[in-house]
Amino acid sequence: MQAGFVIGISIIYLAFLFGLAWIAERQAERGRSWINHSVAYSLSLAVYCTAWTFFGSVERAATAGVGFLPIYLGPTIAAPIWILVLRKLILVSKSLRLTSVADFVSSRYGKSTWLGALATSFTVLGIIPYISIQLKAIASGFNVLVHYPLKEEVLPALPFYAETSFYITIFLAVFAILFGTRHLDPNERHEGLVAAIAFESVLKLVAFLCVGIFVTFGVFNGFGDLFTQGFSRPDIARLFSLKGVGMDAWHWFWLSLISMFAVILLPRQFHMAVVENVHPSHVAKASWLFPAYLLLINLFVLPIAVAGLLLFETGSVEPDIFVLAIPLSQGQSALALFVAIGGFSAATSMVIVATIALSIMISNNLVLPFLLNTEVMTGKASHNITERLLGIRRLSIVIVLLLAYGYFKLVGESYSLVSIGLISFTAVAQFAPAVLAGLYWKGATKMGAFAGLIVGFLIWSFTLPIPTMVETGLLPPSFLSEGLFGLSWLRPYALFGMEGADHISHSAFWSLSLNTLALVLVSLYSQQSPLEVSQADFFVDIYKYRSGSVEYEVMRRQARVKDIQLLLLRFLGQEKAASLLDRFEKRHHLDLSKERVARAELVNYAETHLAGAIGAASAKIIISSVAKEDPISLEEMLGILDQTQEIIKYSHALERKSAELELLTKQLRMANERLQELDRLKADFITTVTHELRTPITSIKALAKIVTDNEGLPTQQRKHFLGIIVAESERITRLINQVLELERFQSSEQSWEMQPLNLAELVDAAAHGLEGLTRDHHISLTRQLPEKLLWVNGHRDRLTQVVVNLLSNAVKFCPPEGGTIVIRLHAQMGRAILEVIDNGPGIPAEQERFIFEKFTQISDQSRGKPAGSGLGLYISKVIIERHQGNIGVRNAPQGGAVFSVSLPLSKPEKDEEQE
Amino acid sequence: MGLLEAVVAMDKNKTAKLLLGFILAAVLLNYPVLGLAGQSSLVCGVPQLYVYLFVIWLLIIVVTAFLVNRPSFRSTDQPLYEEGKRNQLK
Repeated sequence: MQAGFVIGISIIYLAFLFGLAWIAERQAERGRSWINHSVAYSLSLAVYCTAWTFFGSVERAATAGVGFLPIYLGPTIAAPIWILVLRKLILVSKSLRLTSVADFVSSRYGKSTWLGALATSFTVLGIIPYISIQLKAIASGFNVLVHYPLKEEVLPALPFYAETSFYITIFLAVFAILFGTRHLDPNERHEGLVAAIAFESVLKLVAFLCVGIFVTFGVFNGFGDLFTQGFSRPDIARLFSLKGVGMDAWHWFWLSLISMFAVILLPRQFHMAVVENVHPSHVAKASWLFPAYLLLINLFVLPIAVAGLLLFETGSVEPDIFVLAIPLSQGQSALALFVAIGGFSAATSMVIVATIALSIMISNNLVLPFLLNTEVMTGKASHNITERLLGIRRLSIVIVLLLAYGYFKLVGESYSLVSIGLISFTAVAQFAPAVLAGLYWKGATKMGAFAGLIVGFLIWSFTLPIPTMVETGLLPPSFLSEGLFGLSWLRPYALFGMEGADHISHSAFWSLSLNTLALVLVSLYSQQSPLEVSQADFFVDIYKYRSGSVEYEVMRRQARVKDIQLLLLRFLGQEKAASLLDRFEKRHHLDLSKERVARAELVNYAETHLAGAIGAASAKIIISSVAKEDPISLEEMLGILDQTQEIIKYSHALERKSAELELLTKQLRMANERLQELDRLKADFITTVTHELRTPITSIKALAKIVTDNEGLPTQQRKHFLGIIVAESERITRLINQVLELERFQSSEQSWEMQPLNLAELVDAAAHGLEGLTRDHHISLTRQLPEKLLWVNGHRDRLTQVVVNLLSNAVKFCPPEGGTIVIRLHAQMGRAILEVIDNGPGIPAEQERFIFEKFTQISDQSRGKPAGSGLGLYISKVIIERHQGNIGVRNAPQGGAVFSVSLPLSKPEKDEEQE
Repeated sequence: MGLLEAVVAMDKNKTAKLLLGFILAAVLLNYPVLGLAGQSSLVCGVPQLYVYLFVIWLLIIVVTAFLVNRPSFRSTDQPLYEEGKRNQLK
């Protein structure tokens, strides 16, 4: 193909990309965003797949089989937890307007300027080689297209001004400047850029799938044919197993792990995944769409590698150009051109986003903080700070790209795409401990982050990039074989004597583990400043702040409104500053023109938005130049944070307490009702008792008065009266005794001393004692008692009293002539049943319910008031219930009442069962 | 139980499932499980190891899609100080 034709196509492609980005921005300005969709977000994440994926993976597959896959499997393994980690990262970063990993680390650890600068320097050092391999890929792709079939001599060393890759580099710089640094945006979002990247992601996937399908189904007859042919060649068959390519568990694990970190922490990944994210909810779909994209783009890598090895003589064609060489060798130059554009888009998308991300880092975290420190931000400084900031960014883009180009010319040519890419992966993985601890461990301190990052990067640079200088002749070979200063434990590829591991896993192991160790150890033994404490709390408990329960306003600062307005104006421009302040006024219902002193909310608001444009550390410096800060001690800060924790805990405790209280109130109300009821009953009782006492006393008084007043009363009548007086006195005595007894039952809650006793004997004795009474009333008392013993657990005296009460009750109701009482005792169903049957008038049905109540006396007109206190049956009932027994009454069929008592037997009688 | 606790309890359950998915993926795509599939033989004309890796890969995608495709994750959680439309500041 003609060089001019290929260059022409490339320029047309880039012009198309320009147009696309430009239209996307115009559309967005009209509110019709192209990228506000989770699919666009997922595609923008696919900037992960660079020229490394496009060309390097095939090369890797041709030498290491599935060894090219851990780089994509790492992110896939982490896919399920993306929604947890990445979403939190986005929420924190968006809330504080963080624009890069360096900004994140700096902000989390007390808005430290030095930490941000350190992180930025490390990132730039780590990423420049990665950018350089993209330039290399673009250059080599161009060469293949133009010079195929390749011969050694067609690649003469040209001066840089004659190299295509140099002009491509310049072109990429222009693109990055145009779409990455057109304006200073507090959100740091670039609609056109994202649209272009998403488009390139589609293009590179389609291109790679096309060449894969062509190779597998056009050149060969499907997977089966391809792999079977490969399987018959031992040098290819070895690629199909892990052992054959020397891939071990250790190597596999570390490759997966560092790529798991890199997919978020690489500057371009962080920029796309976090900074350009439109809505955190897009992460949900991306967490499975992105792995699906990775799967598709890797599906044909091994088939293409195997096909290339089968088609070309060993060593005649480098594996990293198989994707172009196979179509060309088959005469498909149009397909080859399309694939080359796919590879071109993979490389350019990476270069553009990475340089923009790096330029933001460099300007916000490296240049600006020191510029601000040296230059007082007062009226003297030029009004065009916005322009100056953008100028710094444009300059950094150019410098980064030139450095990458220089690295490519100097070192890059002697190393493969993958090995240099992995060096960069290991570099950015060093941020993982500081970032993860920042999100999940409040105890991580600034000193700890410093220690971890420095240790990690020192080990990384000693074990990976520095040894590459040996290859290029900058360092003597003895450096590798004998170690630094000739110390054998300082050999870069066998640090501390660890031999046998491949370079990447060796470096990743030492750098990441010692990095983490340093972070944790130093954090445990160092103190946090108040600002660090509040930042840590915000980062770790972001959901707490978001839910609105806690205000992110621990810093109490004051400034003049004028100063704040001036700062916003200077850094964000007239229009944006006005719109921001306008929004603030609306939200807080304020008129800022009438306010002189800006309160903490406005100061924080301004700082957050400035941070988006110039980085957290710079924003802090600028704000502190105009704001008066109430000095706050560590104790106070901890106190404030503790308070918020306390308040949350307290409110939970309150909820619980109020539920308990409600229950308690209910119980109390019930108890109160019961008490009132008892009180009423007591009052009734007293009324009844006094009434009962008054009746006999009245008659005693009347009779005694008659006897006293009438001296000449006949002796017989006097005797009669005195007899009545005696009887009434006895009634009073009995009543009082029973009331006292009742009182004693009710007040003495302690259980009675129960003992086993023979109920038959007890009943017999009680009945015997009443024989005199029955004889006086001419009543025949019949006892029907069992021969055997009936054991119950009970109180002898009390049970005797029940029997006596029941019998005397029966005596009362017997007719004056021919009265009969039967007392019967037997066992039934494990209970002793005692029945007292009389032949009196029986109990009227309506009285049955009340007969065991206090002071119930059965009376009717014909019989007049019966003798008795009305407490006997009640007392009996109380006693029986204390014995877990029942008492009841019914009318006998032949007339008369049957009082029955049932008591549980204390031991089941064997002979009784047989009965 | 208050609303906050209910949400946290629901979230915890989901978090546990996602973490389990992550651990399972890590185990299936690493040694020693991986070593079992790493034999040099063809399954339907495709290397066994290759088939294993891509099938597990697909499984992870499907399971993740299933787990995250719940309304609670699609809720409108905006960061603090979020500005709504992105172009308002331009």
